[in-house]
Amino acid sequence: MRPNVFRPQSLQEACSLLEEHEEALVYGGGTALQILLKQGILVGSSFIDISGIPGLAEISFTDDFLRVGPMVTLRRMERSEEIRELFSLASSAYAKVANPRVRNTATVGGNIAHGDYRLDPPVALLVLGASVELTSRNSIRKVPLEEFFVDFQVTDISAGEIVTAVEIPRSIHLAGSSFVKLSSLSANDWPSASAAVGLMENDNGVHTLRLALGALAATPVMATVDIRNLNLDQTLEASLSKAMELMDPIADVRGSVKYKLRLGRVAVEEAIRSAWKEVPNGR
Amino acid sequence: MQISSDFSIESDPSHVFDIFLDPKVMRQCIPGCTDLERIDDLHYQGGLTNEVAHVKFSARFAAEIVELDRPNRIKAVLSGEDRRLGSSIKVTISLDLKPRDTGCDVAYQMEIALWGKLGRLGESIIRRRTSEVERDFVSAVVRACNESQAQISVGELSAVLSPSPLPDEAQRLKVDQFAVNGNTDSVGFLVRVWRLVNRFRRKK
Amino acid sequence: MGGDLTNLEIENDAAAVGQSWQRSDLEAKVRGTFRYTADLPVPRCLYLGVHRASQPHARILNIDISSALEMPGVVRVVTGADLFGIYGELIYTGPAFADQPPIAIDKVRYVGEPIAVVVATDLITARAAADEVYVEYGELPAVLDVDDAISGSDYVHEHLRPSSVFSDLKHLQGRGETNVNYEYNLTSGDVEKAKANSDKTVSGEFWCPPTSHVAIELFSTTAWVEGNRLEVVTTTQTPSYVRQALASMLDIRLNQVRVRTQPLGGGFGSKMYDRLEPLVAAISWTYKLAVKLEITREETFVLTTRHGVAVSSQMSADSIGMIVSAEADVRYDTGAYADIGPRIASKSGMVACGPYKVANARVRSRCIYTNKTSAGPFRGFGVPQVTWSHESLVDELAREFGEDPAQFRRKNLLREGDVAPMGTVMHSADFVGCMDAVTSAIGWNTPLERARGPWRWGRGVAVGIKAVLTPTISNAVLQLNQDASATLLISTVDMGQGSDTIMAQIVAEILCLGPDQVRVVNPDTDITPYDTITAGSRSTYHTGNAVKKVAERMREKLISIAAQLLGVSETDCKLTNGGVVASSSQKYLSIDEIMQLHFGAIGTTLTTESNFTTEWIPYDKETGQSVKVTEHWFAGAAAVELGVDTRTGRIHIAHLAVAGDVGRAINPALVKQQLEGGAIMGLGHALFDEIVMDHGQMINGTLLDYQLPSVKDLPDRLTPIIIENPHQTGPFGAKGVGETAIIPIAPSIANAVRDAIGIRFTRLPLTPERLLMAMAGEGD
Repeated sequence: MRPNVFRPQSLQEACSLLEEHEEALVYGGGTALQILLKQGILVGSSFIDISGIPGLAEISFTDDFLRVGPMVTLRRMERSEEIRELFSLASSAYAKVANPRVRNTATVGGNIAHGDYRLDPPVALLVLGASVELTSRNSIRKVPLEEFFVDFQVTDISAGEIVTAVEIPRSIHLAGSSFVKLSSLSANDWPSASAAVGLMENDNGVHTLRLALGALAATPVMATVDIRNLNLDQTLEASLSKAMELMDPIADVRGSVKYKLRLGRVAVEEAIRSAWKEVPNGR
Repeated sequence: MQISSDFSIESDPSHVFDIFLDPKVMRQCIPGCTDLERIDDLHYQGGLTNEVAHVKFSARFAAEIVELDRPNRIKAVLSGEDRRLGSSIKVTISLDLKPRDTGCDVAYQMEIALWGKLGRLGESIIRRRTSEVERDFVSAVVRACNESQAQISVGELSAVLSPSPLPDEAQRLKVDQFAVNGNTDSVGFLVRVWRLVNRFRRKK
Repeated sequence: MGGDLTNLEIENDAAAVGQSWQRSDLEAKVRGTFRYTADLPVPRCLYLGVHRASQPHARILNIDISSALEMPGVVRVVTGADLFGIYGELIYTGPAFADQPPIAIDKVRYVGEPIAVVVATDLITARAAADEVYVEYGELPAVLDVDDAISGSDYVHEHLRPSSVFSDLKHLQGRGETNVNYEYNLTSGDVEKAKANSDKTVSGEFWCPPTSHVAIELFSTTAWVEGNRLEVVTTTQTPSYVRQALASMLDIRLNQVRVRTQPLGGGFGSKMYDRLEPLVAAISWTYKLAVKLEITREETFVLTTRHGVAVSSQMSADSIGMIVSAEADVRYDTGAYADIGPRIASKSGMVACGPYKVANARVRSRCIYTNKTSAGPFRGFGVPQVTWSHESLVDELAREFGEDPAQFRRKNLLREGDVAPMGTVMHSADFVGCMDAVTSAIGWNTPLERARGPWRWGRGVAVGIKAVLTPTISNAVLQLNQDASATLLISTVDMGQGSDTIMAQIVAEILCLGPDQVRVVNPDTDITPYDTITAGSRSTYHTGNAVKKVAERMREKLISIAAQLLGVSETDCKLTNGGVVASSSQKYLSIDEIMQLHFGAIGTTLTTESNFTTEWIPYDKETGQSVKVTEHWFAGAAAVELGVDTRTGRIHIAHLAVAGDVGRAINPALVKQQLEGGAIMGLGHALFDEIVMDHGQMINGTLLDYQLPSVKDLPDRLTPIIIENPHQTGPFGAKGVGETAIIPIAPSIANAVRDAIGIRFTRLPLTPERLLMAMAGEGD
């Protein structure tokens, strides 16, 4: 009746435990798991608490990537000055999750593994081209975030795998970006629509708009829009039409499908206008 | 929750009607249904089980046909209880069949009540799961009707009805075989609601 | 001994009333050392786990407890039939109707009703075993809509069972084939004639959904048996009621039941009357066990709610814009059990026409059973729901005349000495003063830039009226200790409103004591005297009067003793800081000295007691008329300036001002906090706070989905305004303020939305979706 809690001291030990106890859940910050357990919906019998494993709470920069350990708290992602400088889109999305108490506890790995369609960070991470590192006893693999979210609260994590890092490439340079979160009830509630936008710059200028949506489909979703030679209005038109294709909202107490579709358009437009302002001379 | 939707089948109404009343076929069509037996012309009973990552659920249900107008209309009430999750379900389904040149149009309405722990869980999760199950159910029915006038290949159906989560082959396969014209808020049959517990699921 | 007054400070610098004394519990609450009810030491207990119904209306055909019983640690499983077998009809309790069993007996009437209770050695086992109880239901048609409940032929109760508490309900005994358990009617003048002769009429179909109280502190009840007595420690706003209810149910004497509570972490009406106590007490007493029931946040949502209310109403005015008639048909959805619903239906029905001079009025206010969680008292006692109707109507009527809504109200508002539609005179209820204060605070007459980008701006105002619960009873016992400290014994429950602080201030004022010299004892029915309830904004006035009286008696007693000791007449003596002085001789004795000389010992106490009881003249059953339907009135108003985002439908409140006529503020800081707290709660009800039901199941019954205002939802500016028109018989002129602010908030916001975007909303809450769809012409 009382669940088993394992506290491995190494990643290898954690992976072995996960293999032995197939039903076991990896326990990060616990902000999502605890709620489900309390509600009596999730009846977990074993948990593998990975907080004691050294090295999982590190933020490091390589030439190619920002690498974030799974036990890094959302609050650190929000407050890190280096991240704000290089990936302000990520900082602003992490800053909008729930409240400081949750952000101080919730972890980057748990947030991704949760796979919920309404979470804020995945939307920004999709635009940033992030990938997830999954480690099992015998292998390590990297999954682009675009392929990671499979379906409604279903991710690509296989049995025996643990999220061991989220990596953001340094090669994608965003000349302007913005994350917009719109709630329909309390201002501090989950979004009914969220949008992240990045105006991707290469040597020839800004030719591509990266767009991701949260709370508007069964998973966070993303698309790119070719905006070569488009002005703001044309960019809005092209992006909104792309966004409409991505949207497949779920009706609930926070709003009907119709309402969420409207709100989704507002979020996209607001995010694009705001990102556009950051581009010098309208690129 | 209410849903109303319609789809078309390339079979005549009386055949479709038989399919709906055949427990052997219906057992295959209702996702997660382990057994379904006819008690008398108007009463059925059965069971639903599923093992989802961490929770094994097992519910008995009873179904009663409350309206029967062969081959035009059928209305049934299904009620069940999951003791472990302290939840009850009641689904009122009505199907109206209308002949069309080479087959028939099926209009269906479902009124779903879900009480107890699962009921308060968060509508979005329920709605999402039910629409998945609805798709599975409809595709299975369509397939069952199209497959054969008499013999249903259980093996093939199992593939279609695999309780494994989606998106699976079967679902993609079926999309071009029928048109669901539901309203935008449409939700579906709810048996596989139980899956929602599986928020942290991993592929096996 | 004694001294010469000329050498002593005679100024009473301890003047307490009117001062913003710091809350007595402030430091402990900030430091986290405060002990709530569930923290009190109790004997070693068994824990209870409740198996709750998963059907809204069904016969209980069978309860299978075998697998629960098999679980290690499970002591027993108790069903309603077990208790009914022992106590019979006594097991049904309730303040107005004895209709509520602690555990469902023959059928369940709402999703979440207790069906079986597991007694186990620990909490986890108790809850896990409760999940292992299996119930076989025989489904019954569920009554889920308040209007269907009136017209349909399915009934929640076979017959009505009025309790013995209210004699005026006796005639309803045994009445069957109805879901309406109470109907209040008000008539005055000739509505038809007045309407026919009127110039303009407005009407509306209004709806306020049920809402949840969501006090931060969860419910907890512990009970055990000591000899032939039952001890109960529980989170309740009504310790005296609970003692009576338990003694009646168990058929034992009042002195065999002891009920204690600590100051509550919020109540708002949820912790009243029969909550967990009958269930826990029955199990403890029957099986002679020490048992504890702590419920989860999710369970609190099915314990009690605010009434969902439908109001169909009309208001007419003559050619010069004077309201000539008002009508309201009010339907209170009281859920599965009546609780105090019948009282709410009448007390709110009588003010359903608003605080206006209306010569012709007709109100029908009904309390109706449905298969939902029982609705009970909620801050405002049903009045915010009727205010939603009359303040929307009067606003619309003003617009019909093209008149400023504030000015239109000003012409029509009741003033001192006016008679309200139910026949009672107005006193100390300054509606005009409240309205003028809030409108002026938000700059009502200053220009407003209405269109700013996608935003549309507007202003709105609303006024509220409420009667205080009458008749009621308060008692106080005061002990003056030899060292000049005092101990006050009252059964008023401090639940954040600060009653412990202001009652101490009243004692201190009379006895010239300082902030640390008065201790208020927590409610304990073995010690603290009877008090009707802590609710309905009644404590400052009622308990306050009892406390003032008990302190005055103490002053008289002390002076009498001192006069003897000083050898002077009592009229020559005066109580001053710390002692008694004789004016003629300037001789002085400190309290310390008086007590020691009188008793010849140290550590002694002097005791006084008092009672304060209010009376009313019951309203006429046919017309609802009474010349004294209440002891006093509450008056409040709110004004708001807000913007509506036409892209998202979201409301942004720039300024919300709220005023209440409190007679006199005993503690201005606490009064302002009550005004603010009420306003914020009202803001939630206006914008998004609601219980969403589907087939009798609450589908947003967790704090993830149930929406409350967060700090980010607050207005840019929130201005609480104290209006003081001293009440003749209030303690120092004071009245309560707990509910005043919440009453006008929702209509003030809706009126501002009407002003901003030209659309009248009649259903709460004003969600962005509702606004957006209405702006798009697709509203509900």
